[in-house]
Amino acid sequence: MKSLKIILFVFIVNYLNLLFSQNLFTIVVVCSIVNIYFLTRSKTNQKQINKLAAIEVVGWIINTYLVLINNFNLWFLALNNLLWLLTSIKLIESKNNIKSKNIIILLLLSVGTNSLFNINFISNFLNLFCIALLIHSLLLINNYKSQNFIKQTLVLVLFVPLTLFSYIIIPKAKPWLNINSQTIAKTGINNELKPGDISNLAKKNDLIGRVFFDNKLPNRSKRYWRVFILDQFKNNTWSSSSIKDISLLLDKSSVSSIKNNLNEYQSEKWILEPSYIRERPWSGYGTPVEESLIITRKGKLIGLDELKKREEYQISQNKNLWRLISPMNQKNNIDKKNNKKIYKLAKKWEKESTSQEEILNKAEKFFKEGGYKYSINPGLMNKNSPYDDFLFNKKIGFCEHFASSFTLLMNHANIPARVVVGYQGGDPLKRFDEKNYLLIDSSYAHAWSEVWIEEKGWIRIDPTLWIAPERIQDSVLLTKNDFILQKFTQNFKLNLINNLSRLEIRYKGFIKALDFNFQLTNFSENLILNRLISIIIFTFILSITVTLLLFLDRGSSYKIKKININIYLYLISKFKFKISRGETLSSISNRLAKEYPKVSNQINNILLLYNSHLFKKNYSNQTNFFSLFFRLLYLEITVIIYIGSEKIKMHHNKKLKK
Amino acid sequence: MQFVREKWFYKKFTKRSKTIKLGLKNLYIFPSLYGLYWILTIVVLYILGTNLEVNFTIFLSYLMLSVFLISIFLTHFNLHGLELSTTDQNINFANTEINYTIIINSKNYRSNLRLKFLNQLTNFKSFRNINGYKKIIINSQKKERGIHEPDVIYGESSAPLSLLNCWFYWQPSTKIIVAPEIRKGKVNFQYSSLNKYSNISNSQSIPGEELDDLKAYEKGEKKSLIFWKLLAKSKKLQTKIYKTKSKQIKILQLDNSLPLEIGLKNLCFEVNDEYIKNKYYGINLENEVNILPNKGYSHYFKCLYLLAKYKK
Repeated sequence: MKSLKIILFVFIVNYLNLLFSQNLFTIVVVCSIVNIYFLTRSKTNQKQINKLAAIEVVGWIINTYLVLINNFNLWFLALNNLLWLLTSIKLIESKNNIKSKNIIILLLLSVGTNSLFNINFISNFLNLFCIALLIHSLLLINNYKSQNFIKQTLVLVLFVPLTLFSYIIIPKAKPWLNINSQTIAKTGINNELKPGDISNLAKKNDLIGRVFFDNKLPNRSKRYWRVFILDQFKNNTWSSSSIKDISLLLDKSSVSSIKNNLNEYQSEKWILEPSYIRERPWSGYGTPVEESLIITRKGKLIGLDELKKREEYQISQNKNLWRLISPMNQKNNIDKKNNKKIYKLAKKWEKESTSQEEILNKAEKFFKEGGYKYSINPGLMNKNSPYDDFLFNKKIGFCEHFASSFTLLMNHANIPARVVVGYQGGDPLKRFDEKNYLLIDSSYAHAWSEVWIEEKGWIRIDPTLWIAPERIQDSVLLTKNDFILQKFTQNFKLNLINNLSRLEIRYKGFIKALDFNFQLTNFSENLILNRLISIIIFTFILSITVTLLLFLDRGSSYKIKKININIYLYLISKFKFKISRGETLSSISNRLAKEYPKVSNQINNILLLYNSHLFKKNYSNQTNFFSLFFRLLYLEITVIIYIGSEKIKMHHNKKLKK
Repeated sequence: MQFVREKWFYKKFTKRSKTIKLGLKNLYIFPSLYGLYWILTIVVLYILGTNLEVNFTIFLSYLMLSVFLISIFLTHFNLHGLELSTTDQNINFANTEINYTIIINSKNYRSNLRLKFLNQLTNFKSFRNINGYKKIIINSQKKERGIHEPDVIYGESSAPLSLLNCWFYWQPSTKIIVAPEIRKGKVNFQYSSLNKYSNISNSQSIPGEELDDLKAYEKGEKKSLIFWKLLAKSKKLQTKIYKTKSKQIKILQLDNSLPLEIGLKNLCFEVNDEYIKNKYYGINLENEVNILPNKGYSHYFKCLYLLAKYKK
């Protein structure tokens, strides 16, 4: 029963972990609660369980169908949900004593696959804890020696060195299956933008990252964090043009002479959560300190690899000049087939205006006076010409509708423009050291425009500001919920994240400083020798682990005491105290007590303790044995230290006499 | 794991012996079904972790692998060094479940050992904890009357993690004695005087029986029968003779009108009955196949042993 309680606890911890990370389908959330209810009920026979399982699986099929028609990338999450559902059903069966061992395997598999979706530090920490509990409950089911948790924890700890060594030393295989990483991770924003993408994303509040500043936080209206630059419009979708967005290597001649406000922000430091994309958010000002990050000609900050674990990076105050790089072939990238009304309006503005500023003013006036509404639920737009539908019929939209249609208008009016997708705003919070920082979650997802103005470079224009200025100037989100409990849980979560991420970053720094991986995997230049040494060390650790585990045997308490006393006698003999063969401990103790009367009490106590417990094998509990063992050890150390110090004194005195 | 119970497999590994000490030579180990599920989970997690490049999942698969590797040793050492030996066996009866006694001796603490006779329908005998010296009984299925060689004993343990099965085979050398089935029926018997069998009358006093007569002491007679009071008075060494139920001593015989097996069954019933009533009885099957009257367990054992092996 104890093991079942542990299993139930692990199940609930994992359930909550999945629930908070929003990786559970609605049907699975409901069914898991129902299953827990049946688990706690006194009797549920197998027929009832089978019926329940059938109903729940049908529910899962319907839910999965609805999810997959919207986003097929979630197929893997759907499978994981099915596994979770089956685990919860099996849990009811285990209540009826149908091989509760099997539930442990299912839970291990569930924990393993859950960690694919939720790779942050807290989640991993929880998963590790759950695994320890599962192995503990497996030992309990099999009546492994004592039921003492401390002793069993020690058993679990003994598994760790071998695991760590094999993890570090065994070469990692390269991925061979072509599984899209989007199937497992929430990427937040991506490099394509269709109507409705950002509003869907803004409804969630997954943590994206935190940005720290040296001094004050930037003004609210200036908190724009750019990630993707979309300069191609085809099939009603904004995407990044196929022109290779190479690293920023500025040729002075190509840069016009204008220098605008290039150094608006003081240095910013990011702690970014895993996003599975190469692009990293940044303000667009300064240059990255880390060599692994580069700024592209379009003004993107990209890393060498997709971000698979939490990363810390800093942007220095140095100037960068991506805003001054003129667009290339922008016109060819814009599809004119659909959204003809927008095209006509833009051409009209172009004809009527004499300068770029004039067109911009017309656009601003058009949006401000057009009776547009800002909403997170704008509804579906016409499939063929969604932006025409939005701009001239529905007139209700989210930031991506405004930014996309504005950018289209500008491009048709012969002003190079592009959509920038990223985040705007952030929750201002204080760190443990009283430093201010902004916490950005996916509800701050935003899209805006950048237009190329001759002699000014790329200028940010956010049409949302014209429609809903409070969103930009006051960071008022349509999705924010002021419910007290929600605020409390969010704050609690944030505190936990902050503290754990500090730990995690320090740990990573420590590992980096040690260059642990490198040192362990390369013992020598020779590959075969490396492997041989690895195998020897592996065998060595394995044998130590096994020996220690066998040593924990209850029956071996006698051996432990004997080994202990032998070491004690050996150490004493090293201090020129002769011990004859076959001499008993009592005679040795008597002689020793006579020679060192100051510690005679301790010497006699050792003898008494050892003799009184010599043949006592069945300790009422394990703590009794440990208390005896440590008392014995303490006395022995006292005696040995005393004898040692006396010997040193004697030696010193002899030297002085000489 | 079914193959371990197939004769073609275990025949190679079994030897008849009185004792067996489990070690590298006679212990076999293989993943249990649960262990195979465990391996499958490791493989699934490793494939997912590698292909989706999630380190934690790979780490988890390594952790499970370490647990499995260490479990090989723990499961083996749970049985390594365990000593099993046979001892004197009790008499069993035909067509009843047979109890076979063995001794388990262990210096260390061991858990979850299961024992049974191979290829028999009897259940496993489970022992949660074994430490020290222990006498245990394993059940074997019904057998015919006779002296039988015991079947192969199969022992297994999957402790401490149920990931692997460690097992052994042992063919104990002490034979199983199966007496005829106990069945009430017709038996021939004759009453005989106890005095006729000097070995009994001289050697045993029967408590609560009346003193009948005295006779001169002969060399070799039991000293407890000497009439010490008379010796003190008259200084004559006399031994006591009691009024015995000598007429009631039964000498059991087979009823020749019945088939041999039925006759033996009936005889077995009488022997058992006399033993329970703590009476003197003897057996006379043929001229030279007889057992003199006596009582007690060793006599009972002798009689049943005779019945078990008679004409077999």
